[in-house]
Amino acid sequence: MYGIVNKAIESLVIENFGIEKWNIIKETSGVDVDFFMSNEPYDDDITYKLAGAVSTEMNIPLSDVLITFGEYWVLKTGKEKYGSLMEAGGDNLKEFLKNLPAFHNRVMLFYPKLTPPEFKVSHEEERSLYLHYFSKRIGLKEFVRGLIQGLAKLYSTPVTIDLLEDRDAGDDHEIFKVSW
Amino acid sequence: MEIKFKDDQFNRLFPFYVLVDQNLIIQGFGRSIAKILPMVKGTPLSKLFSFKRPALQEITFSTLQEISNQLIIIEYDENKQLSLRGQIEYLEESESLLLLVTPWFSSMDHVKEFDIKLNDFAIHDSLIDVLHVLKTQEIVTEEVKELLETVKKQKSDLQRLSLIAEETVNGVVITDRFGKIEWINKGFVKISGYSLNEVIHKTPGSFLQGPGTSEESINYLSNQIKAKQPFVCEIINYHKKGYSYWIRINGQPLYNYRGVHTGFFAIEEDITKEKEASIQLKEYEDRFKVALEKIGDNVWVYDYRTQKTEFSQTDSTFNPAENYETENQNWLDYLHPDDKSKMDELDHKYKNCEINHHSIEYRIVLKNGKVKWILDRGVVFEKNNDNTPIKIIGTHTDITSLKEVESALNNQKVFYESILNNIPADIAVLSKEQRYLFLNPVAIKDPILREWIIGKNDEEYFRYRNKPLKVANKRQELFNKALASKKLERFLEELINAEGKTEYHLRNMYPVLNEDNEVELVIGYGLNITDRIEIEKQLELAKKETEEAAKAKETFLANMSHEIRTPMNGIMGITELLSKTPLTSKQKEYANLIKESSNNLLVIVNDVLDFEKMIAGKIELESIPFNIGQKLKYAIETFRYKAEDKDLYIHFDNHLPKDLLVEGDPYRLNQIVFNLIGNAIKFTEVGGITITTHIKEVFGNKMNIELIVTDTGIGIQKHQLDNIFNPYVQAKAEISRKYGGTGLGLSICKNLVEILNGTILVNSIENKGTSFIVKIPYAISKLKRLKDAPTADHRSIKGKRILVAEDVEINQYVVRNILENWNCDVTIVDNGKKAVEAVRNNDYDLVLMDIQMPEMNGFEATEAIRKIKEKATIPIIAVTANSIKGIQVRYNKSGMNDYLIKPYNEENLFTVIDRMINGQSKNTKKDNMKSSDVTKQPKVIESLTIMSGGNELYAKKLAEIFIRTSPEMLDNMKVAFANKDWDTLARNAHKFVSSIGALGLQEGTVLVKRLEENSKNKINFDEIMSDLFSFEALIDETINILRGEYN
Repeated sequence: MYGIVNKAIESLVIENFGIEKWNIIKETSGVDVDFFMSNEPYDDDITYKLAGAVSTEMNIPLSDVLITFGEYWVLKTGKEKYGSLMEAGGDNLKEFLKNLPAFHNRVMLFYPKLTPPEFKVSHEEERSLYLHYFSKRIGLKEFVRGLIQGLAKLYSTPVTIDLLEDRDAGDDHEIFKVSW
Repeated sequence: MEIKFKDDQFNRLFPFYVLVDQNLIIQGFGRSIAKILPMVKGTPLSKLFSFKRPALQEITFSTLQEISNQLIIIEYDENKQLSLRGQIEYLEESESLLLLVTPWFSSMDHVKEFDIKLNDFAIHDSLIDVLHVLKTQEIVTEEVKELLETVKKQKSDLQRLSLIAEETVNGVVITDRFGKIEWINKGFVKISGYSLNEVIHKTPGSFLQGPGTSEESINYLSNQIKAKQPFVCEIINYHKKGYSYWIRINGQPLYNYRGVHTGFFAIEEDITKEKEASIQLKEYEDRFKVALEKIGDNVWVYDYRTQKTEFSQTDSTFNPAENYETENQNWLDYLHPDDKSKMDELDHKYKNCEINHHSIEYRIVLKNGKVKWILDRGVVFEKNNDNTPIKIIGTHTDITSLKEVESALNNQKVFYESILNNIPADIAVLSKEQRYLFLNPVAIKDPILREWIIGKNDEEYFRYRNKPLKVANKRQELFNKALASKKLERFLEELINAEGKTEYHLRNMYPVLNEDNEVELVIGYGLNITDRIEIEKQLELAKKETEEAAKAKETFLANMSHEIRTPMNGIMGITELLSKTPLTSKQKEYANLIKESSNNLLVIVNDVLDFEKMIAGKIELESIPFNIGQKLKYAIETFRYKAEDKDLYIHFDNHLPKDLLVEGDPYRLNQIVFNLIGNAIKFTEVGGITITTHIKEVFGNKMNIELIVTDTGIGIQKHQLDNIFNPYVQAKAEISRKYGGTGLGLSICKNLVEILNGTILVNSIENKGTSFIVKIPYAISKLKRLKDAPTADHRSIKGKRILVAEDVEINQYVVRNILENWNCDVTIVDNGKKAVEAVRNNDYDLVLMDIQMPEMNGFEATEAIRKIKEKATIPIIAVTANSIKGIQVRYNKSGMNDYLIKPYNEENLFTVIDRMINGQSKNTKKDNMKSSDVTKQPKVIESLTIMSGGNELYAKKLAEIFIRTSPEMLDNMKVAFANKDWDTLARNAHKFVSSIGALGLQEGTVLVKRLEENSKNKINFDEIMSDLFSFEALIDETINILRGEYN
């Protein structure tokens, strides 16, 4: 995972709970990294440890931590650092979601050490679509859910997200039905 | 193979293309370029664009065709910010040029400006990816800057810390994980004397410790290091040169970023001076402790660093000590729960430097459950540089018994306050500044007002309540008086109550004195005595009425006495004259019966009068020598024939010496004996009466004479014995009917006996007889024997000219007969006026002056006679039936020389006349009277003469006393008047009443009585003033007269 992800977790914690809490979480997680570089790849484990430590320290379920982080990733990190890029992604939620597969395909190119997930869109309807999520990482589907929620907020479009297929249920990837 | 695209396909591949003909006129363009530029077919290319790269001299179809193998950059002329990059292809078939370009944006923001999306670009177009990479680059650059900044700061901090570590005066040591030195600073070198080279890879203890180093401290440090734990301790180290010094080590274990223990970091502070000071302080502390312990209290020292308390006494001598700290127990756990907050507050204040000493009281609950009160006092003994305390020293004093006393006192206070609150009188406690400290609910009912007044004075209260200030001023006056006199002071306060009625309050101010006899506070209490005053007024009225009634009674008695005696004088005189005429035996018997009846009637009248005199305290006693045995014998003899009449014996069993002479009033003794014997005869039908006399006791020149009258009569019932001496009581109702009498006899007897300081007892058995035992003390006379009574020699007054002023004819007749029998020359007139004329025109040797006469009474006539210059000294004898006490003084005051009470017998009449004509006149001084003062002077001198019974020395003495004391008394009156002290004035005026009266100064008596009355009632001040002046003049004049007479 590139440092930008861990950095986003750091910002999320500091913004909401202060630097002291972040130091505790870092100490709890056993992550001994003083400074995350955004374009530097880090072991995925670090991200998992940080998310786990936040969950433990704040006494929040990990799934909620991931959802929150997904939202934060879109609304803060994405908007602040890649705002214009994201705006170029589409005029509305549907358009953005449709561009999501191409977007991630491009990411792979300029983050060569990244193992990005792959998205696909199907069953496109007037007010819904299926978003397919393929990833080698496990346990980040709730992060994806948070991302979708964050995008929905970005475009001020209330959504319903239904998980149609789930690797935990024996499927080969996750399918989210996003309705608005 | 020829490739052909449909428009739509071409647009997807090259959405920004531009197609121009040979004239470089735009013939076609992509869908996306139209979004960002005003593309219109037919527009010359040069109108929109200029070529930036390559730089062309001339833009023609051919020149553009030539650069088809090059990258071109064209600019939109209207907006130089928009460039497009791409390439040109010549299309032979259509003789046209195809510009395959795409916009070249410098950033995503740039893209945003032209409002195009990702979909507007061909999928293969990598511009957006390039822009994304650029953006990431930008972010990373920012992060690198931030990282550099962080590192720079950390470096700076590290350098500063290094410098501090290096340069600090404290020693800094860094060791490896085994405690071996890796680095030391300059401070360490200075303190220890060793250089880094000398100590590197050695443990500090190996070269710093010495004989004085505490084993305990060494073990502690060793254990902490082994356990990789922080350590703090004070320890003695040795310098390279061998001397010792104290350091305080503060060490921390060091870990690397992986959490691996790498060594220790320690700071060593040279505390040698501090230690020395501490030792000195300890010495002071010990001395202080000893001093405090001498007081007998438990001394404690609390150390904020260790949070432990040490006590000087831990044995049971100081009782709460059993609760003091043990290994597992803090003594504060034994504080009474209600007092714990006191200690917390105290601790807080010490820690915040709000206090540097304290004194509080709290309770400790002993293990046995009992509660001890402790007085805890303490002071900061040692403190840090920031003034926070290190040590506090203090004492614990067991004040349980004091508290018990305090509690008892408080209970007592509550008790007394409860009493004070419930006493039905208003009570106040005032400070010596006259401010209220306490008031009970009777004084002020309203509790809010009662609270308000505390600390205030009367003036403030009266103003607040809008009450008249004069009352407050009076109270102030009384308060000051009590302060000055240090005694209870009181005054009567007159108030108008809420209902508008007058109330009287007796205000009392009682000063409470301290040991130095100074007023500490004043207790004021007031009683509402309105009811009492009202009752007093009624009593005063009742008293006045009673007095008036008594006076009326007295007047009535005087009149009655006069009215009875006057005719009796005639009856008895005529009877006496009748008896001297030749009579038949029957006539003699009748004459005797008349005499007897008259005598009986006289006894009854005298009884009634005597009794009234007694109850009014007006009985006058004589004190003359007389033979008591003889007197009793005569008295008994007078009853002999009466007894024999009833066939009763009468025995006189006399055991008194024949010649015993005593001094006293023989008349009163006679009266007693007459009563008792008369009764005995009256109530005895068989047997007789025995009179026994004895001398019972002799003491000094006095003796008790016992007289027992025993009869064999009807006796007295036992239940009647108790009230036999009560007035108007006779043993049986039928007695009154059968035996007659007033029922006053025994009561008179008892009263007379008691007036004579004697006793009377009665023993009686019904139907057997009665004994009355009388005991009277008499002084033994110094005379050996009595002069023989002169036999009446009527010749001594033979031929004397006597004027009788008497209006009652029968009395004129009696007296004329008697006097003419004695061969006197008698002139009779029937009123005072005629008497005065007779005296003026004739020469008489003596005047017998009746008092109650028509025209002019006896007093007036006498005064008139005294004014006839050449006749002023003629003896005048008052003759009256009025026998009330004081009559003599009145007659004398009127200028009369003597008096006779009607009915009188011949003997009495002769005695008085003979004494006046032949004896020493009581008024011998009259001849010396100053003619200028015919009214006052004779009265003053005469009165004195009368008072002194003719004893000139005595009279002189009285005059001297009057001259000496009167001016002072008069001055007192004047001072009292000036001070408006009416009570004192009244008191002094009253003192004059008797002396002025005794001198016969009627005018003075009137003045002085009026002065007394007015002063007492605080009225008629003008009259008081004028009376005082008149009285002063009178006193001056009287003193002059007395001086002229007796000096």
